[in-house]
Amino acid sequence: MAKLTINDVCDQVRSKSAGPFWVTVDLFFSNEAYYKRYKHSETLGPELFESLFSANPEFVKRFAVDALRVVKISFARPRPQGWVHERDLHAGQQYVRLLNVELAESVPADPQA
Amino acid sequence: MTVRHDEFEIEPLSMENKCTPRSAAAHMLYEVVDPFQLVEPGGILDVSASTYESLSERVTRVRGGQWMPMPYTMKLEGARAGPYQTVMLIGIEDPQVLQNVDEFEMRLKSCLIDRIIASFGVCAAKFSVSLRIYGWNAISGRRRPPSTAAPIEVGVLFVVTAETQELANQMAKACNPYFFHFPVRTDIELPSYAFPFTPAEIARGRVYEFILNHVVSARDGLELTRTEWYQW
Repeated sequence: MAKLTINDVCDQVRSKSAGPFWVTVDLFFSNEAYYKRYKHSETLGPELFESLFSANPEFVKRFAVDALRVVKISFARPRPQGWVHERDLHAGQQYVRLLNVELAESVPADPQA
Repeated sequence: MTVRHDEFEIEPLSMENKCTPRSAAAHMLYEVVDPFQLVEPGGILDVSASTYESLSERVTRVRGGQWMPMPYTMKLEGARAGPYQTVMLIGIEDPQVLQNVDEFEMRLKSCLIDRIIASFGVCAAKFSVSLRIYGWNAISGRRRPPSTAAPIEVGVLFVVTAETQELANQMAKACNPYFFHFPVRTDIELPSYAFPFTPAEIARGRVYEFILNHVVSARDGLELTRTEWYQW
């Protein structure tokens, strides 16, 4: 079975600057089953943000917000907001390159899930 | 908003708006790194055990936030005024250019850099040229996969960065004819791309890059601030 993409399992994905040195991404999963299946997915680890955004993997933070079925991932910008070759000051379009990422299911399965 | 000792209720002013448990909780996601802990000047607000309860269609009650007092600190952020930029914009619909945008960009960019070095020599030691191809990959700057369909038109933003505004302007002027007429083939006369206005060079001003990111210990919220009183 083909893996599902972030776009398949979320009804909203957004990105925004979180202060001038960080970017934050919110993945709003479209139902509880998807949220449980993917909230600990290894695919959403620091390596993904290193490969897509050149983020330093040591400065990638991930949070699962059960009340909202949201996985929030924040990473330090490789260059601060407003640098000479800035292309997206408020990071509002950075989420787009995540949409087609194929997700592996949570491993190991979350016992609480 | 009604604030009590250990809870608060939010009700929008407009009767058409609603505050739901979801919208109240989602507030902790917006433009912050951490959705559970909010660092404030005199402590940390921890909402990991907060509950959001609907009192009516429009009113939500929030409980369970924990305030952890900390020594008073203030955040100090600052931007540095850096070099100057001048920009130009063209539009391109020529299908021959659009068939291979990446190669066009690479050749054009290297031509413009050569042109600046030839005209300005050593005083051009510190400059940079950046091309942003809107309609292709301007936002990410990343290569498109080879299978990507050609765009139907692109906007090309030229950005030159130099030590002074005057220098950036002159560099843009030196590049102008090459940017405007850069050939995609050599067996016909030079093409002209679509400038939307003239003069084409726009002095954009300085680059302001965030550089300062500190937490300063302070006795209280007024120690680092200055208050001046005016009477009229």
